[in-house]
Amino acid sequence: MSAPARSSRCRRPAAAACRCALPAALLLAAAILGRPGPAAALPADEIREAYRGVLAVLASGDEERALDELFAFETDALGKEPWRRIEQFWRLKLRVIRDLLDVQPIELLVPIIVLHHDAYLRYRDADRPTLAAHSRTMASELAEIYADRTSTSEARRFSAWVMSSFGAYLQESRSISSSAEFFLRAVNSDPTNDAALVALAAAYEKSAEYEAAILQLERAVRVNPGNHHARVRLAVCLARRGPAGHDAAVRQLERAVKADSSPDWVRSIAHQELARLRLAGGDDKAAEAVLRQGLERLPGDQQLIIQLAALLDAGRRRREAVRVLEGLTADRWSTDSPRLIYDTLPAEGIAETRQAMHQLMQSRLPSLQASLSGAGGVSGR
Amino acid sequence: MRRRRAGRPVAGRALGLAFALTTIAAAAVAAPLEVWIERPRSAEFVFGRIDFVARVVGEEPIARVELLVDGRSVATLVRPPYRVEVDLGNDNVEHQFEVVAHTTRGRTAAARVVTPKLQVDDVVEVELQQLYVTATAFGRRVLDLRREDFRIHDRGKRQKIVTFERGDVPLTAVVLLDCSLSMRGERLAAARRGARVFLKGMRELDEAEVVLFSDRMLRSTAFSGDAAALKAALDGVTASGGTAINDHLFLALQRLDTRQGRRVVVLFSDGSDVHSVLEMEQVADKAKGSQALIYWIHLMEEGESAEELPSYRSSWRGVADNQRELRQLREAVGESGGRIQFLTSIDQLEDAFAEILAELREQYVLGYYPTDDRGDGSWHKVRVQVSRPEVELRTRGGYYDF
Repeated sequence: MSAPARSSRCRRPAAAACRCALPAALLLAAAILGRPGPAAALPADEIREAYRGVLAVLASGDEERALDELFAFETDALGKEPWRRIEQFWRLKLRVIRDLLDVQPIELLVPIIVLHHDAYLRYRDADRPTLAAHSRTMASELAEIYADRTSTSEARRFSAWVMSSFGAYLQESRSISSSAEFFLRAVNSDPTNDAALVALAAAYEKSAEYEAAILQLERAVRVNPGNHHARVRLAVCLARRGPAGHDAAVRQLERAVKADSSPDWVRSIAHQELARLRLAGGDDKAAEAVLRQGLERLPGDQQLIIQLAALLDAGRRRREAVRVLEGLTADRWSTDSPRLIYDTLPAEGIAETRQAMHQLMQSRLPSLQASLSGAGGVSGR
Repeated sequence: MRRRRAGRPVAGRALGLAFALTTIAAAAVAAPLEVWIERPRSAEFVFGRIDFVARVVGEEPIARVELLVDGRSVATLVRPPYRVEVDLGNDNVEHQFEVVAHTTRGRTAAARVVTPKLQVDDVVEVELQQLYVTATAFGRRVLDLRREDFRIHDRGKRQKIVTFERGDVPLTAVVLLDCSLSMRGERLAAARRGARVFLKGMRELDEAEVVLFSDRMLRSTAFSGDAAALKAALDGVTASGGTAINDHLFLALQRLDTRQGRRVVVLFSDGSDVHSVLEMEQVADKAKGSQALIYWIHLMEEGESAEELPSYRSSWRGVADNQRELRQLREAVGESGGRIQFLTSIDQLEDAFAEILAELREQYVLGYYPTDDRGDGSWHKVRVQVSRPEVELRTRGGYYDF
């Protein structure tokens, strides 16, 4: 793929271009921003040109440099109080994208969406909340536009990946309601994304909306019967219904304990919860059998050991309980406990999602490149 | 404490003894070499898993120390501590404990302890119940009470106090330190300092185990009287993960079940349980059946108060369930005869640990044989009163009659 012929000014790194072209305007803007009152207008042409420069770097395949330049350009352009002019900034960038779409099909949005998705993380880690929110909004709204306009399953899947990824980031930051909103958008984009369905259910569960969680988890299990994480969560939520949910919960867990391919933490919770339900049903022997079976499969699992010891102790089998607890050692179990993993969003699936997003981006870079070389320079407003 | 009646109360017998010691000097040579057995003590009734502990003092280097139980070698150790855990089983038999030390120059010294078979009454088995009682008046501990000042009611019936002690009764403690993520930085450092204060205050016959936990057990020592070794175990763990108080409180109570005498859990945590597999109800039941005193040093969050229960939720429990768990934990601590020490600042931590140790040193230990001893697993509600109206007492609320 040959690089499109560009003017020397356009080939310059965007941030550098911005710094050359904008100093007077930014100085003026900074002076105005220091005082109360309406924000000064951004220098539209320079902003659009700089943004096109960043996209050109991205189109060349160097996303890291594109991110560096986007970060430098946006933080420079918006100054210390970025919220004052963020809406105008957003419109200027959209104008550039609209110009590009005049030349090439909508597929060129994919790299732009991924760029802003990744920029979100940069801003979040740099403690730039306004620009982080701006990047997140831009990536998520463009992703929804992309899915709506193309209506292909691939586009819907891609949009769901973007939303799920943001949902996971927000859950990491304990923004439960915001994360639920993104997972819901992911599910709306792609109702067959069982990972998003489980993540949405997990967010509902954290908010004690157990029936809403059950609805999503039942869908997830229907979509992917091999998703035993969904099955275990479904059982936990069903068990909260009390006797009304007991049998259904047991059925789900009986399937989950047999699933050797599940992550260890899922299998551990499946055994823990099945034993708990057996005990609640008055069947101590069955509970003990489940826990012993769990420990055969997951030796050293501290929670299974403690649960079994407690069961034996309650049955006045104290010497056996003591013997079981002898297996409890810190060095055999160095990971987070299954119940902690359950309480946070499990990382599985998210890394793969982000990898898939980047793979799709690579395949769409030629569209962006072609559009940048085909579309004219700065257009009028 | 579960005891069967022998010639006289076991507790009184055990407490009245100093080190169990039968030292046999190997030869009358210039350089002294002494060997004795610290645990078990002679005349102590032993069963189940116990620690067999010997001491060797001499000027010559020690080549090896052999530990034998009933004539069978159970360990050969080349450096201190000369300690091994042995399982004696539950048979009511006499046991012989021997230790033989060998120096590098070929000298030997040995010691022997014989623990007796329990003489069980053919007709009646009686359980000695011991109550650890803290007496206070106007916020200060009262130290001059006499046996006749106390009245014990077990299931409403007045009981005869057969043993009465105060002060330096040996204790076995489990120090449980919460090392979850919220403890990072200065909080964990302060908790370590506090725990060190407690361990430093241990006396010769005291023992402790240190357990560091978050949502899982991070580190655990064996029971030991070696304060330096226990203090060393406090270092090197970084704060991370969630909080599983219920699981680790159960673990502590379970481990104390294997010990004898006065047993104590000292729990330090800045939060509440989130990630345990056990419900507090299960642990509270265990605590009721245990003889252990539970002390909870609770470092509160900013804005938290001792009177109000915090509102938080997780994937595992909603607000109401978490508050129920916390209420049950608080009740279990009170029922055990221990207490909760609420702290608002990490600066109070060292004093809090020291204060608990001081309180333990100044407890009254009352023993009695329940007149209504059925062994049917029923709950015996116990009430202790004192003749001086200004004095308040704190002790466990009862026990299961097994």
